[in-house]
Amino acid sequence: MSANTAKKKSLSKESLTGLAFIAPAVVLLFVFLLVPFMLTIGNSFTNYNILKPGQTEFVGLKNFVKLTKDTVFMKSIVNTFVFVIMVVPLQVCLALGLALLINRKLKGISIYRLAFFAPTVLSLVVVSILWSYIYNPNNGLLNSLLGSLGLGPYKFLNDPKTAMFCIVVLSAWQGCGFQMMIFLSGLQDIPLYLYEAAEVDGATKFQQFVNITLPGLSNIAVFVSLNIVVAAFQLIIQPMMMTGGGPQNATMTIVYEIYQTGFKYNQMGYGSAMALVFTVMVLIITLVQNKITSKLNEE
Amino acid sequence: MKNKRLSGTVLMYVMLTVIALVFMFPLIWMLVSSFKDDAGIFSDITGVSAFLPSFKADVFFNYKEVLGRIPLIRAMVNSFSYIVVVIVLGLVVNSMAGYAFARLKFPGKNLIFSLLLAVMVIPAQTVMLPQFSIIYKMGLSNSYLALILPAIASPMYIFLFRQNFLGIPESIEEAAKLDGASALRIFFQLIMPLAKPIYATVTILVFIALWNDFVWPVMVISDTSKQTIQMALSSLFSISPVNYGNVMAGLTIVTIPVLAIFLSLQKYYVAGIASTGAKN
Amino acid sequence: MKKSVVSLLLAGSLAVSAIAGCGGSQSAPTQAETAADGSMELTIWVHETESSDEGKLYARLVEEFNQKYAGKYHANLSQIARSGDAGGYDDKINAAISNGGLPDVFTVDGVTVAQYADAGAIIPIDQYFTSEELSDFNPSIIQQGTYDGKLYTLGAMDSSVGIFYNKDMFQAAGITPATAENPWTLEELTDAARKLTTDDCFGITMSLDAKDETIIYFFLPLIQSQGSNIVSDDGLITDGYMNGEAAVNVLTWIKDMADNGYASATPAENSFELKQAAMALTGAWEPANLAKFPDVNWGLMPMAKYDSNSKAVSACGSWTFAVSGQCAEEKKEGAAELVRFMTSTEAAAGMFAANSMPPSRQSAFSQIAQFGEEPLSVFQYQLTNTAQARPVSVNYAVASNQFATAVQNVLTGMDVKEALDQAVTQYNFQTDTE
Repeated sequence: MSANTAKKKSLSKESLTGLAFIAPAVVLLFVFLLVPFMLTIGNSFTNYNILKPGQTEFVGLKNFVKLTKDTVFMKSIVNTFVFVIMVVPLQVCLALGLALLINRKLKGISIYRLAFFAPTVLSLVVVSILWSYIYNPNNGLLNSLLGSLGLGPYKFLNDPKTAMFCIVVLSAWQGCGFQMMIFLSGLQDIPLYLYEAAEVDGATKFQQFVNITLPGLSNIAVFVSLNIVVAAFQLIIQPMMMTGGGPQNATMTIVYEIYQTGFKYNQMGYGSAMALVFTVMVLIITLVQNKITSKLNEE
Repeated sequence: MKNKRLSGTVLMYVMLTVIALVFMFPLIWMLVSSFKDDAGIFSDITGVSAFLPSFKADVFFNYKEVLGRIPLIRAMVNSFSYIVVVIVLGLVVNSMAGYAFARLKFPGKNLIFSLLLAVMVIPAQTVMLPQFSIIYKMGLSNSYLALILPAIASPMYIFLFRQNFLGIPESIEEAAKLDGASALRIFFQLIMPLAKPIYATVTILVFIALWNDFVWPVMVISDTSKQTIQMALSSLFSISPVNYGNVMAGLTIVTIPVLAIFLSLQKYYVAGIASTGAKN
Repeated sequence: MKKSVVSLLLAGSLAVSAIAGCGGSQSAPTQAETAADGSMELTIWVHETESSDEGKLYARLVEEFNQKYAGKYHANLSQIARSGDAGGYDDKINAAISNGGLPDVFTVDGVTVAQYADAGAIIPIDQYFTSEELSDFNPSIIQQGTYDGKLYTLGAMDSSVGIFYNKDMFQAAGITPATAENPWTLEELTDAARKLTTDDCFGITMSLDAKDETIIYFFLPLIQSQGSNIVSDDGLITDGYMNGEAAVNVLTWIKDMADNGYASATPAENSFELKQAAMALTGAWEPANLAKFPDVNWGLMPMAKYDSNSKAVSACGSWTFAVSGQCAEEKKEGAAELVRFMTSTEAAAGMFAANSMPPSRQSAFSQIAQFGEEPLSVFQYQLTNTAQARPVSVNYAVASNQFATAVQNVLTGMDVKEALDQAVTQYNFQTDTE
């Protein structure tokens, strides 16, 4: 705050309003998110075992040294990145496509909107259990469908080469309804008169899309892509319910590994070190992404 | 010309229906299975018959059984009441913060906003235990405040509100500012009504996220009479052997409120609504 | 900007961790409260809610306890939801161990006894029970509840695993089932599975796609049958055990069964019940499931042994009751009394009525007619004669998980020895074993 020495005399009315506007959110986030996270950082330098809090000792960088030798953790980093790289473009395109498709005046359109949104209303746990039936190599729905087309049978989740891709498809399918809604609310903010004016000027639908819709959605697109990236990095329920991180660690993800180490093996100290490394990694990526997208927006 | 447009409309409907089926099938499966017994569910699972209904003499037997087994209605009321509080407070708190970041100037704005982006990426699993310690030390365990307080503020939704407000033309506020309206008045009387779609969206998203939340409620709530909907449902899964017909009926029941919320907020998504706000 | 964020985070974290210490401390045992009528208040947590018959039984037992000890003890029951892998009850217990707030008595899964005992979260109870009382329990119940020579837990129910078979299919193939006293060897089981396998029916289904505790529960007995285990007797070392000859033999057999198509590596749900498999290796919960498929004519055989030179071993173990380490000194006797009441003969027999699980003690077996005759007599025989508890190890969760991972890796193409060696390496790494 001392940076603004010139204006320091007294906080302007707008400053006070601004601070008042953010105060409730900031206080709540500080108490329920930032402080717990700082405790996690503190724990990462200890041998904290959930069951033996009384025996906790400071161990310096030991956990971080151990991390560099942890082959499963390394594999989970690679897996997580592979997942993010595959799912983000797929899900953004699906969400935008559906939002555009649904944003029109058509009889009964609300039924379709509901349909596209349907996968998101069930919890991920339920959806994951359902999809493991669909993916079952022996009598799953997908193999019987593909079989009638003369394809397969495939092993899907039971083949290390295809398991992660199967989770990508399911995740994009399940999650895109959320982002479709967000795109949809963004579409509502684009003033209709812009389209009317373009129509008068004789612009084609495609030109209208490129020149009005896309720029109009850019702010929301920044959010949507970041939203998907963050969610994708936190992948855990699907592998937990469907593959247990296998086969051969092909679907082990960072957050799953953190959860297992911290809560199943009770090694909260080591798990916290993983969490810290992970958070810093995602933080750098999102900050870079935010810089890039805001640069693009300025141009 | 007219024919062409008609066939285009038909084609659009066909396309929409096909896509809709791809997205709807788990709900259809769930609904259809809720009328079958387990033998029926699993013998049908290999093919299309999984999505075709077959009714027993007592059509709603799974529903009767599940309502007899678990206090679903009570748990739904519990969940509903605390979620409504979170949504109302959350919409105000997050959108005000989002508006401040989008429009107002105040010291430390960039720093705080970057911090916000930073905490957004913290995975819930990594802070769950320290979060519990804080709730415990505040003496809030086994109360709804333990469910409400941590859920109100969300960096994700603050960010979403900010991005949305950035998209609203600033010219709309200029006139009000010239008239000497306060920021608070501009926000509540001008911006909020204008941004209804985003409020509707966040309402839906928060509702679904909390409606489906399981681990956190279990950790902080011990009293059976206070249990949330997922806590009640989970016992259907934990008893071996699982009765899948009952599970499907239970899931169908708890999905209804979510769909109802979604449908009731539909009116804010009518194509072209923005023109009414921005024309003047 | 990035820099300032990171430095702020670090500065803040140091401050907070300095204030809060490292992860909280174990709170002091709670003071004894007394109820209005002067009776001592006790608290108890169980892992089933009242929506299940088992949960209802717990509620009823606690009520009966309060009547019997009116004016002396009064127990308050909390029934907590649990959802398999997605956490719930376990996370809540762990959080209470860290932060305080554990009840006086709570249910623990048999395999977690060692880690809770080692952490002091539960305390020994042998001093409150006579050896005559204890002799009524299945030997494996005592084995599972004993850590470092002391008894920590007792249960009302037990569990067992056997081979369920389709009588019609056996008859058609001319196969005579094994009896409780004379289990098949793996060779005989393989032979039968081969004969029973057809284009649309597997010889046996063994939940080979399971990624959890199921794997160790079903297949550890085959390793124990050869006189070995997956960890050393002190529960710490896996090298030479999990990757030893006995384990290699068992995983090789599993792999062959899947490769030959006698058992599915990815079995469909309920395939035995839908007659897509002639046999099912599964547990005591299965009869309740089979009741939903009335046209399956089924029987039960004992768990197979490795070969004719090895002994018959069967699986066992279930949830148990323990007195918490946070229980106040003057309450311990009352807490132990509550454990006694919750694991009484009546409770154990009631458990069978509630969830069809076999009882933990002989006196309860004799009260339940179903165990006197086939098919359930097989389970009683196994629990009385051949049951061996899973390892009592502080690192059990890691060992079990690594073993399940090894089986999964083998079934998706990895070499048996390589998969088991990897499991040992990972176990050593996760547990800091040199």
